[in-house]
Amino acid sequence: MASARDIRRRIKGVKSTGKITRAMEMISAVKMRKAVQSVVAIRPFAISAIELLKQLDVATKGDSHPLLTVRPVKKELYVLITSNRGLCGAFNTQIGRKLRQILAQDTDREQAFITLGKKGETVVRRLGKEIIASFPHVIGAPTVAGMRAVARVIVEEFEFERVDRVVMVYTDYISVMTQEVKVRGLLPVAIKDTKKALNEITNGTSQAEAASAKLLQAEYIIEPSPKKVLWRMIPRLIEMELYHAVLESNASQEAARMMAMRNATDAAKDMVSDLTLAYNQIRQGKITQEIAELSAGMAAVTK
Amino acid sequence: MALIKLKVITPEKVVIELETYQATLPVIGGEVTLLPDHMPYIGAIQAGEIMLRKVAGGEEINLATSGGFAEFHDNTLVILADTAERAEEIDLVRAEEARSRAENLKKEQVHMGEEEYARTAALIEKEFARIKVARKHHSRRGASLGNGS
Repeated sequence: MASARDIRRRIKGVKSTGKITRAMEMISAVKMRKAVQSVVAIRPFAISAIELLKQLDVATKGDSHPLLTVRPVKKELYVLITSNRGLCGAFNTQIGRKLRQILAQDTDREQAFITLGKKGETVVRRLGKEIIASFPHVIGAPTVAGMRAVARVIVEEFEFERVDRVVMVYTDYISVMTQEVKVRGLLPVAIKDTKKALNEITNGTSQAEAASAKLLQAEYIIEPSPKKVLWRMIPRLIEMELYHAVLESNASQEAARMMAMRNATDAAKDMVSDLTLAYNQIRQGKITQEIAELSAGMAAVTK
Repeated sequence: MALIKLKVITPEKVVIELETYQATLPVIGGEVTLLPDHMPYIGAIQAGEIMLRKVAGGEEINLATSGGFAEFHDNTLVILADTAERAEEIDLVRAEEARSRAENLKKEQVHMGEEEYARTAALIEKEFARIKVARKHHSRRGASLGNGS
């Protein structure tokens, strides 16, 4: 049986752990809110990008671009977006599990990886797959400019035909309680899919559809040429999709961490109350024993 | 009189949203000035200065951009920019530093690949645009920034 002093020490330890997890929970809540806000902040851009893309799509019928060309897939490039740090519940485990599932089905092709996040890098390394590039720093405080380097590597690998298809694996934030691992094609660009992706970013806002319906009637002057504008636009769209995926992933990660830390805080509270009960029992037992001894002594003296 | 409804958007935020009489954009191969009731227009913007006037001959509003796209129809102008900053947001001293850093980068890397060179050149161009816009702003406001004119 643990002594009263040991128990007291444990209560103290558990309490301070509980304080830490509680603080972490609150930090995650703030970070999550920030990431969710950033997702909302891309919407105006995405809506306008859809309009522009539709217009260009109409104007450039039949033109091909290296990034639009579908090739037979000999080698596939996965862009894996995870977190840099742990203590976020099942967040990284989930994405690792999904990845293994995908890879189990996709055995007749070579695979390569680009990882955003240290945890994903570890997973891929354990699987013994090739890592072309790792970007652990761009997800900390994501910016579009930060995604440019990632997009560049991806586009380069694809353009020089070192890989024939690029897909993104990331966690989509649905709510605080639910996050879902998603797989999305990035290259070759299928304009239809891109529009769908952008629509998802905007949450299918009816505003976007109304605006673009009106737009299709207009005759545009396009400078320098529809083709050139579209070609300049495609890399931007890839950057934006990456940026969006990272924000979703960060929001999911912080949500998962928040839940994990809340559970930890609750567990700490339960433990403290159990320990306090045990401590009080021992303390009471000791007092009872002392009184018994005292009265026995008294009885011996007064006789 | 009709005005142009203008929005400058980056993926991070809506930088500016206002009604303007005139908008001059640094498109590839030159400059384009849009006035109300212009024809529908789509253009690719390069690094440079976006200039707005709320009334004809009125005061200029300047923005520095590193490139993007412009779309105009029915007196609505949407600019999708990679980055865009209002003149008053730019810290001139820091912008100068950033440019000299970019230029040093160009000098140091003698054996720079073509692509690397292009990237650095684009960076310098962007910083030039920022400085130009910021200087204009400061000199007009009479803000004495030493090297600011």
